[in-house]
Amino acid sequence: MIRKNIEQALRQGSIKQKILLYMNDLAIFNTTYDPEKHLLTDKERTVIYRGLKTPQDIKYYNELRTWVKTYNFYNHETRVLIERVKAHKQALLQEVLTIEQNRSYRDIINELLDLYPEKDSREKALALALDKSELFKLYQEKGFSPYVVEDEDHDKSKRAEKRIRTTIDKLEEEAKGLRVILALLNQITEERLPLKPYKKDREEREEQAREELQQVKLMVDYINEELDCSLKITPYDEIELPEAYSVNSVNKESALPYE
Amino acid sequence: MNKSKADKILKTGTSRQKIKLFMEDVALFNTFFIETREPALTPEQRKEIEDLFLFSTEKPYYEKLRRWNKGMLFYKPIVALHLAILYQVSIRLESKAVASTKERYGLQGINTLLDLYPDEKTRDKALSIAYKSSMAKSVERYQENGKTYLRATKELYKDEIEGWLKQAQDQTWLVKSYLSLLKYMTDRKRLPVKAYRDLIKHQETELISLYEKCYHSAIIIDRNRGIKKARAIPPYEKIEAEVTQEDLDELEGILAQ
Repeated sequence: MIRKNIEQALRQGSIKQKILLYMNDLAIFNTTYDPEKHLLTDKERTVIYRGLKTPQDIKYYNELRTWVKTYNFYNHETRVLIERVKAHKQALLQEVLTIEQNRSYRDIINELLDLYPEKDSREKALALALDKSELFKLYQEKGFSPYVVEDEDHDKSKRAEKRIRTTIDKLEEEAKGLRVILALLNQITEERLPLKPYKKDREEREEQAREELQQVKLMVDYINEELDCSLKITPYDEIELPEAYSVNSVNKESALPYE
Repeated sequence: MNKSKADKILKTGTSRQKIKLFMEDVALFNTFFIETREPALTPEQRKEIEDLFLFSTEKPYYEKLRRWNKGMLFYKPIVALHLAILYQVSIRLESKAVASTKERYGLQGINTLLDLYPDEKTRDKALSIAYKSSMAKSVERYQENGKTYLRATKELYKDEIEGWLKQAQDQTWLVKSYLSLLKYMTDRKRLPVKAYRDLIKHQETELISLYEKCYHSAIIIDRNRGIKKARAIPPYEKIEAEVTQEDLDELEGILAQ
């Protein structure tokens, strides 16, 4: 908003316009936490606040104030949930790296097997490699020597799959919560608090959630291919919203004192 | 709070008891999440109490509780956020512990194979192949009984682990400090609401568990790197996180807004 327009709104605008200006100023602080980015000076804010005279003005101001509190209340929850989604994404990334690591060991072991000059010692080494690693099984093509490959049916591989499944389940649960809250924030910014800074803030957070889940999907696809399993992660936009969610469930004390 | 107790307070309780019940209901909403919340009051009962304290001489008592509730709402999400960051650190360490254990098994397998070569020349060649593999950056050669083997270097993940542990300590200190402040706000003289106290207890249990988990994972990684002496876990109780005058001044500033 240009300074000239602000001054004009302060001089000639209706009280409703002035309240919106005040709330926009507050929204910029609540979404950037940067005191340098204020639209209004302290004096201008005080003038608007003191200009609230009629019951209608006060009612309108208080209504917006309640929705600001509500927005902040839920917005904090989204920040927490995004951090938790990131944590599970990190765990999945480590699983991907571990798959790579196992493959690397498989290749080395197979290369080392080819160095044995005699069949007997190669077989002995192969048996030991299978026994020690507990990750591989024997693989042999007709006319070729046997080698080791990943054993998807081994207990350890099954454990890895179970661990990955648990991580994905936890991640889905957090993502579902995130989707619901962002939908609530969307409802608030569309219907109750039509201020650009909040809308932009909510859109950015939603984009972040979408991207995090997109990255998770790439990892899950990789894991499915490598471990021959069928794990699934629901993309952000396909997470179903429960029927009974509404901002109207917000209690009037359930908000943050930011204004 | 069970329903019959709430009903009894509504019927025969004092204004103060009713106001406290109202705040208990508010706290229940604020501590449970959307569909899982179990409010103590129905909307009608809530309205009944609201109407009561608007004209009651106990209104200052309500304002006092409301003021501390404001503080609670300000700090509660901060605690949750920092706990989530600590959770992230603990997952990183735990994942690395799993990876380093697998790496140790892999190297054990390679070392066993090395001992089966009938001649030194082939053994050296095999050792060289394994060393130059993709893991070369993370392994080192060492001698045992006159023979060379491979093991994870002691330096492996060192900086990462120390960095994460430092982050775990910082986050633990921060969360413990905020929890001290929440305990201060919910003590007998201020906002003695059970739902908030339960939340604080729950968060502190989670904090201790995550803090210790970080160190346990670091110990596993150390062991896999060949470090035999287990690092000591600085006791949680010794982390100094008292409420300072500075904290109280900041809190006053927030409550005054």
